[in-house]
Amino acid sequence: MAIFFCGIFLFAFRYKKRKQEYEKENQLLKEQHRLALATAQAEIQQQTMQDIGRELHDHIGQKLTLAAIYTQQLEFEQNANPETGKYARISKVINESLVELRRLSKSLTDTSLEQNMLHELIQRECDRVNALGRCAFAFVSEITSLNTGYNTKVFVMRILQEFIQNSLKHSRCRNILVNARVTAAGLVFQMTDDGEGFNANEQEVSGIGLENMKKRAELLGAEFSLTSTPGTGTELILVVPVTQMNQ
Amino acid sequence: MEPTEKIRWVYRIILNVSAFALWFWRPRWRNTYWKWLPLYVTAIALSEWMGLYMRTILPARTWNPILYSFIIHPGIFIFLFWVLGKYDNEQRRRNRLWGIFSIVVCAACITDFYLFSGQKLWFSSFSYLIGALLLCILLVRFFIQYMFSNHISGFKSDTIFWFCCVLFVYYMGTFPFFALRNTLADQYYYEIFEPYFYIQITLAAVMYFSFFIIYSCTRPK
Repeated sequence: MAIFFCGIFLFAFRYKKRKQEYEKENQLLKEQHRLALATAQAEIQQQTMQDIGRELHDHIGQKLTLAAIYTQQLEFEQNANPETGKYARISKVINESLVELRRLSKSLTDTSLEQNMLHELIQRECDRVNALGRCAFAFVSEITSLNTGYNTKVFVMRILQEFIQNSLKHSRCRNILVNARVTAAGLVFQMTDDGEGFNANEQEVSGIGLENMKKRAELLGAEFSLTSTPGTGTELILVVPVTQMNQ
Repeated sequence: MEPTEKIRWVYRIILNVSAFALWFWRPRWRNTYWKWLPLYVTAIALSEWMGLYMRTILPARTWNPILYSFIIHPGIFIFLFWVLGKYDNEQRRRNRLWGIFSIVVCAACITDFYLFSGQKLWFSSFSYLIGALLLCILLVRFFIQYMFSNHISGFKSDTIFWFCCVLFVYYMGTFPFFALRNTLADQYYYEIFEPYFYIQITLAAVMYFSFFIIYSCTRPK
């Protein structure tokens, strides 16, 4: 009888242990799946952007160059024509378009995400916004050297870009502040603007921008918290856990 | 009707109902080795009727122990060994034990016939005792392997687990009864034999009804 009860006890013990192992395995699988999904998404996005960039540069760029040459040739052939000034203007517009196109193409095929650290990328974004002159962008960082994984860089940058774009487009803010620090919880990004704000509870999440930010944070395994009240601006806190930083 | 006879009738009814009901769930198991379970329980039910016929109608009562010792008991054990062997094969484990044990049970039958027939020893059937002992060894082996396998996490819906539990409870619970049957019947009839007989027959009824419950409540994997 004692052996029988010992057997039952041992069985219950083994069952509990196996169940814990199973839950752990399940959690690990979920985590791996999420990571694979995030990586695939980032890679596809990057690949698509590079493809578009190359296509713009090689295909449309070539056609515009050809159009510019033809216009110059026409201008040369009809030198005496009083309408020559118009050809020059057309040529100028095409050349400007070419410059824009090349810049766009370069930005799409940009490998700076792979080559730069996260705080450097944010600083570049800060400089770019400040150069526009629409509002003042300040980046305060306690981080001097932080080597995060590629996914973390991509997702944090996309979330930050979306936040900046929303602030510039909708909030009419004068200042944007991004604060980055490392805490026990992980890498914390605090993004604030002093714009009009909105009622976060009533705001219909119909735009894909906000949804995309949430989705990206979810894929990254980061905590995402957006608070906003009319008249006081908007604050977004993104916490990337330490375990996810090297993704 | 005597109380022992009454409880035998209750047991027969439960056994027959279980055997009958098992056939309704057989289509679910038609692609597995479990499809033979209704046939097995039906064969036991028929053998019970045959035993009753031999005991009550035929003049020579000696046929009844012969039927049980040399046909029914070995048949039962060989089937149960085969089920456990099949389970091991399904798990891609080689199991030769079921074949060896089946041969041992057959050998025990022959030993029973040549050495113990006509003698009144403390047990009633040598082949049954050997079969029950070997089955318990296989069941203990099964539980040990099961405990250390991944299947333990899904034991609640595992047919073989519950089947083995029921078998284990019955064969371990009734082993002393069959091992000392003659001694208990001769010397401690009212004190031990009769109450133990009720326990044995109740366990048997519970076992066959449980087969039906397991068969109808679990699904093939």
